[in-house]
Amino acid sequence: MMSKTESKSSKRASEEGVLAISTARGARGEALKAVTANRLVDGLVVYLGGDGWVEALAAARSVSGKEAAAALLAEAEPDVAACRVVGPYVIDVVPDEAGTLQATSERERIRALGPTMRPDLGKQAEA
Amino acid sequence: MYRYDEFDQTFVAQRVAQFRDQVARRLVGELTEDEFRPLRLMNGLYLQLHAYMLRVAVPYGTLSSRQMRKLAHIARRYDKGYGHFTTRQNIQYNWPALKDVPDILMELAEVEMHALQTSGNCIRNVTADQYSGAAADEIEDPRICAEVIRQWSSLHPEFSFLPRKFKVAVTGAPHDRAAVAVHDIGIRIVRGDDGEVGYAVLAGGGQGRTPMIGKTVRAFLPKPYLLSYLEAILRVYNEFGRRDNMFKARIKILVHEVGIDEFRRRVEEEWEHIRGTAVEVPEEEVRRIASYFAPPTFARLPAVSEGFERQQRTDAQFALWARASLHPHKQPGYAIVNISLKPIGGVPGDATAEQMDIIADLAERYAFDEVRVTHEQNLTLPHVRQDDLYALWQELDAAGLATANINTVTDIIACPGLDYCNLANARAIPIAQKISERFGDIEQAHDIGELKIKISGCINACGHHHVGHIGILGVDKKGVEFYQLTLGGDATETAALGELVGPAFGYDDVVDAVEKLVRIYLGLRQENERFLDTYRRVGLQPFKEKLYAAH
Amino acid sequence: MPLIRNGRLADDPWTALADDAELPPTGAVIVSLARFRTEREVLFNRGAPLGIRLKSSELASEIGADAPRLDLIAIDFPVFRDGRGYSTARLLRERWGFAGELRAVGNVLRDQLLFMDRCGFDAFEVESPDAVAAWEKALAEFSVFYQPATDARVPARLQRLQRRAAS
Ligand code: SF4
Repeated sequence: MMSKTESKSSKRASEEGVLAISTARGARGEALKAVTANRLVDGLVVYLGGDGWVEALAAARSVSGKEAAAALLAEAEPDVAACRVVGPYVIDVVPDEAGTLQATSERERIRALGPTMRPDLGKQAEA
Repeated sequence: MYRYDEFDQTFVAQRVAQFRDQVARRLVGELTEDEFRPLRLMNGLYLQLHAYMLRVAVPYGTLSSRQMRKLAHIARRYDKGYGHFTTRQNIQYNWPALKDVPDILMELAEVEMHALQTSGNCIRNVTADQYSGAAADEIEDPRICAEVIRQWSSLHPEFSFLPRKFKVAVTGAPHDRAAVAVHDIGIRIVRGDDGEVGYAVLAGGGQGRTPMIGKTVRAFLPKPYLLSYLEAILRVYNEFGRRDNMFKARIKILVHEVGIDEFRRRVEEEWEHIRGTAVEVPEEEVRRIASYFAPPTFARLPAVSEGFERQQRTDAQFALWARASLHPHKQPGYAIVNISLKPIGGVPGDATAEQMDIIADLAERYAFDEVRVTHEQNLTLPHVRQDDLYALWQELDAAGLATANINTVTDIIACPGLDYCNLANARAIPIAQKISERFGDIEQAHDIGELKIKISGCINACGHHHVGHIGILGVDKKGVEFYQLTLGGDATETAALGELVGPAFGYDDVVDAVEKLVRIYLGLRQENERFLDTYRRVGLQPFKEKLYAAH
Repeated sequence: MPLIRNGRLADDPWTALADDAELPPTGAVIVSLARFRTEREVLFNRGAPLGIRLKSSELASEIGADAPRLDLIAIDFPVFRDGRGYSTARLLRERWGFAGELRAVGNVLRDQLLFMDRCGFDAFEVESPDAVAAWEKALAEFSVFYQPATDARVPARLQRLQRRAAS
């Protein structure tokens, strides 16, 4: 479903995204914010990463504090106007033991992974 | 079944072209999402948790083999190899890309299908009894009426921006398998005192946040006035339905707030102006439509097939399946066959592309080329010779489609819930799967008898929990999934809304609670009582006490 | 705002009069239903074209038998979702004998023009003059209609009958 160029660029972005996380992360387990949306053309879940939108939550850029979250969300707006994504919003995330971002709500966990009873579908299947 | 003529074909083709243009305008930014949303919704395209979801209309649940094969093809080519049959007799695809949807619609149009009016605040796809044209107790095939309504409501210029969505269901038999009492309009085909066939019209039923049983607006409507009467109801609703609060916008609230007598007065007053005018469908057109629903050429057979009787005696597995899956046919020597889409531990209503192809094949060979989608998320082959049942069963079994659990505790309705749906509070499918596994012993399920469990992931009640014998509603308590249980709901001609038993259960406890309810029933039941009968006899209290006693 | 009337961009000779604005001695005016009610006689006897602007909540019956005496009725669509105006339009045309200009104002979207046209509107306030091309396109998107409405388009069921009678 995803074109090769897209997957490549998201991989690049994800590496930068990880860097961004490590700079933003405070103590382990501290609640952080990330921005998510759905990609217009295919509806898939995306996150604002270090350089544009990425498909994996692990590659999302995370920030702490309300203001930083609002700034992050504002960054997404031009891509709404440019018809790249639909309906961006802020979500709560926390880094796990390994420092990988995890969504805190059940809903966002399911969005980040895929249907819970179908491990063969969604992002969890690609991991 | 109904076949498109060139007018119908032109109409859907033009509709596809229109949507292709709308998608193109969206992709280049001529339309914002706010502007595009209502347009895509008018074509059944939602944006859900993981991706877009396309809901394809299966008018009154009737499909030909060719259409079923196309649905399989779409699942394979544009989706992830499966589809989900819904409580509105439709099919949903969970992963289509926006850019592909015009092509999907074009492929659907090739087999006389569309996604029109599967969402939005318009008159939705009309549903009907899945046993239409086959049931022994039928007065008239409800699909004729449903098709007349489908055409009349297609892109209705006056009623495409109603206060809220509007669902119509039709039953042609006294035993109501279409749940007409929980629809915005429910139509029962009835026989008047002098034997004339007409319609009893109910309005104001519905589930969701404020569940209500529909009330009779007119006990007998002569057939020629069907459309003027519907137009009168819709006009009164369009003018007076509430638009200030989305949760109070359904027609049931209007009927409830002004009272059925005042509502009826307004409808009848409006009707006086328009009855017998051009809105009515000409008799010749009704005859044209009806001719498509003429019964297939049945063979003349003895009422009971000896082979079928013998096979049941010699093969206990087959006998069990037959007991669960068959329904009496009006034609001697035939049977109505239900195909369970509820394998033990499976996702209710899901079918793989391969299964769809197999079912299409079986319908072609054994069932005059027809398949029905039921509102309980199963499929039906409406006309099968009893002589063929054994062979059919073997083929179904080989495809994992012969679970002998229709109408039993594991024949569960579940909406997509939090695993797919943007509006959900809690998951529904995994709960259904766990209950199914808990009662996985088919013999035991048969001993429990008829028991309808219905699960919704939020108050919108797509999983019909209000009318489940046991209803399960997912709620969100501070970000944690909880489940409320209701008892005593009923979707049939004895329609009733379930009553809340007590405090909600957590995700890990709800299956135990359901099992406990079943055990309480088994302890209380008298001979031949179904769960619902026992509940009606003893009431909520004994269930409530025993359910929470050990906690 | 640009106006499309009978399919083309048209001048708008009408003045929309605020409720507290003074009534000009001459010229076509559009007033609110409330003002119409209080100044009904004066407005009718003015000797100039009279129009009323209806809110979406103001239904056809509120004009009722006065409809044939009016030259214009504008129906407001505050948001596209509010579809009361479609019923209002049909009833004014079909029940109350209104033959003047029926104008859709407010949130009038291209993808609704055909519905409005079918319900008896013949004038549309649009956002930009480019809308004429879109209007033409929107009206040409369908050639098959399944139900009679206010317009003269022949529903499919009658076309079928005509076809059969001819063959
Ligand atoms: S009941 Fe709620 S969760 Fe379930 S499909 Fe409907 S809207 Fe979604």
